[in-house]
Amino acid sequence: MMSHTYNFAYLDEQSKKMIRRSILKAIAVPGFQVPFGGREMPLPYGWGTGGIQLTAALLGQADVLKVIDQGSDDTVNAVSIKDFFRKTARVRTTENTPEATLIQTRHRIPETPLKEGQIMVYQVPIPEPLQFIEPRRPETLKMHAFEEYGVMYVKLYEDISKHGRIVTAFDYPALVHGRYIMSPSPIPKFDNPKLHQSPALHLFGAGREKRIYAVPPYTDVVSLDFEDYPFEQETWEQSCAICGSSVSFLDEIITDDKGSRLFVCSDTEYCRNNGKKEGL
Amino acid sequence: MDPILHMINISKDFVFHHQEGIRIRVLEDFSMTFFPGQATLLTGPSGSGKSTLLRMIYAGYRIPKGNILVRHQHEMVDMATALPSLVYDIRRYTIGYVSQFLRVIPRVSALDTVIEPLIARRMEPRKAEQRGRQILERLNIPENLWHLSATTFSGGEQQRINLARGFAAPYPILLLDEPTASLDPENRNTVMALVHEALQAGTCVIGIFHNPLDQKEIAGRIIDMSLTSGRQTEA
Amino acid sequence: MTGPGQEMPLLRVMNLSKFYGKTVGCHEISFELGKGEVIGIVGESGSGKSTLLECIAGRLGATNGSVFFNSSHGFLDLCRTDEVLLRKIIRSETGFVTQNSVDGLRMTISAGGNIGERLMANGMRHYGQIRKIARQWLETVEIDVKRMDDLPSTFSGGMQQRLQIAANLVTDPRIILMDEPTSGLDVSVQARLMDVLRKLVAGLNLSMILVTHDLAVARLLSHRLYVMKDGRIVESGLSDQILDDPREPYTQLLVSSILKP
Repeated sequence: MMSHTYNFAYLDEQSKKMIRRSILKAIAVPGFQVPFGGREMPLPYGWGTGGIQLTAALLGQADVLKVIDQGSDDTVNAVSIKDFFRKTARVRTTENTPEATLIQTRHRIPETPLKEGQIMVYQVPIPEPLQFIEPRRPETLKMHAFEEYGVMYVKLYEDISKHGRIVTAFDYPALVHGRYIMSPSPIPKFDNPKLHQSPALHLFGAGREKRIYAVPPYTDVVSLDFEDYPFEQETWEQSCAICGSSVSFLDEIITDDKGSRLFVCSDTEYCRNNGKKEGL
Repeated sequence: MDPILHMINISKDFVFHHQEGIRIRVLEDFSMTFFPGQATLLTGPSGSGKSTLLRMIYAGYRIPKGNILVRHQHEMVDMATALPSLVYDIRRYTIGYVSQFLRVIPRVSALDTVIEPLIARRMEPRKAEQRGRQILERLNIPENLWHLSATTFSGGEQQRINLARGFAAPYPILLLDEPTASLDPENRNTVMALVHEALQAGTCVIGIFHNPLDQKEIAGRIIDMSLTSGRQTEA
Repeated sequence: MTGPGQEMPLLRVMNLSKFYGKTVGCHEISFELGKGEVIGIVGESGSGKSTLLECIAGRLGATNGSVFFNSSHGFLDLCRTDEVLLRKIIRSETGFVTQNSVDGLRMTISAGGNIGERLMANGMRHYGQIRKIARQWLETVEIDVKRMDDLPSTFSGGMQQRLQIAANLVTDPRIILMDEPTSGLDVSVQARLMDVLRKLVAGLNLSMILVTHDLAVARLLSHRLYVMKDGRIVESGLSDQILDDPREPYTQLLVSSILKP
């Protein structure tokens, strides 16, 4: 029987060095998309290969890894990715946000405020915020280089003219460090303010597009809006049915065929802790 | 009195490259001086250079040889060498030109066509329109036509719009090419009156009038263009 | 062409050439444009007039020569200006109306959005204000304001052209370049477009370079004309001089070839 041994965290050291160099470049120019030599990972594009490569390049033996998917620690993807790194790096994993040194996420930022020294790794499907209007990469490169962001505002303008308000609900474009507009990945716009002046380091990896970008700690991240149509977070009519929170992002759950529904925290770990606090 | 226009040694040839390179000499060493308030009539058969002369004064035709000096705002300017921006200015304020045929622009009302030179002089639009209506009335253009484009007007009506436009604003020099050509006696009289008024106001009028009656009525000097050197005869 | 003591021209093109290998796009073109002047560049297809316009607009790189523009940053040679500054100047101080509206408009963005884009690109962040300005411009170019939120793909050719004009004039550029604005349009539609342009030129004291093969359009709108053939200027002068007293053989051929109805 053959046994396979892997290098620590699956990737070879040269690849890790290459990815780390790209990460450093990304941190040096906040919000700028740095191309990197994406490696083949044991899962297809669209499943978080970008995020996994970032995590693989950054993990050290002393790290504590948390992985969430849509806010949950226990979905199939989150569990599989944790298994993957347990097997290839033997790192400690946790569901406890304050305890984690590195948090890989798909589509949410944890409700528990992050601390200095923590790293968030985001899985990004489409890194280019201008993609919707300009599919050509050479053109978007120029637009970013020359700060020609009129079209981003045009998109918001179109929303307001069609729907009376800005309808973008997730992957809401934001201006980083007053210079580059970035796609913060498909996190709900509710989470955008968490990026602004955050003490943690936020890294974004797109595996299929092979690009990395970053928001260093304590960086300005301002969501785009109009003076007369300012950026607004989502609100719900109810609070969490489990822990009673009225400040977290809630998922809507349909409970029967008659359309009854519940709202519960999307961040399961936060909900558990909050419930304990409330004595529920 | 100082002259307002000097034509010095003007020659003009036309070369038709696509008709075996025929060269027609229309003017040869023509020289003439013109004064404010003076009427000059150009006579002679067609081809003798009457229209050509008028157009050259206006710089509508090139001036390849000689000088055409115009007194524009206290300075003598040579139309042959003046910069385009100066020519535009001269056409706006100093030299008016009424061609034989109105160049009709679709969608532009008769009134707007007539007052365009006034608007170009930055006259207040309401005042300009008032003046425009006045002169249209004088030339017997019915009021119900004023807001219409001249594209559907008869030849005579179009010519009267053209004339109204030419007489709407006062000019130091006024060039008229067959102004009474398609007019009935009543309108012809009106035009004659307009010419006299312009002369009274000090305009130097240079015109082509075929009708001997017109020539007599205007009582200015007559230049017979059939003599290529443009010999002048008295009225 | 400007004399001593006279104002700087708005545009000074000097010895501008564009070669594609050995093929001449345009060759040694020089001319000046003053404020409030309209220059027509006329010629048949293949004359190089569109190439010349694209070089002046900075959309095509010239092989040789200079395009000096009296911009808000000074009298700059656009052929040698740093790209960041060049794009900024082109975006706010010049306008370019393309022959084919699809190239000049964003067909998936509403009419209002097209007009507002330049404003937003230049930093305007008030939706209501953008809307107000877009509405005013639609009125100026005679497009029904009710169509503000419609896509340009639902507009007729003439409307698309007028929308292009509005989208370009919204930032009050010093000069507007137009490439065959009437081509492909029905005659009555052309008349409307010409009327709109005429009023804008007069009302805004707009400087314009108009490339056209239509001499009637050239006469109506231009103060001066440049006749191009095989990439070179064959003759130039005041519009009535060129059209009524053409001197060069090619100009005579061009002028005499139009049928007068």
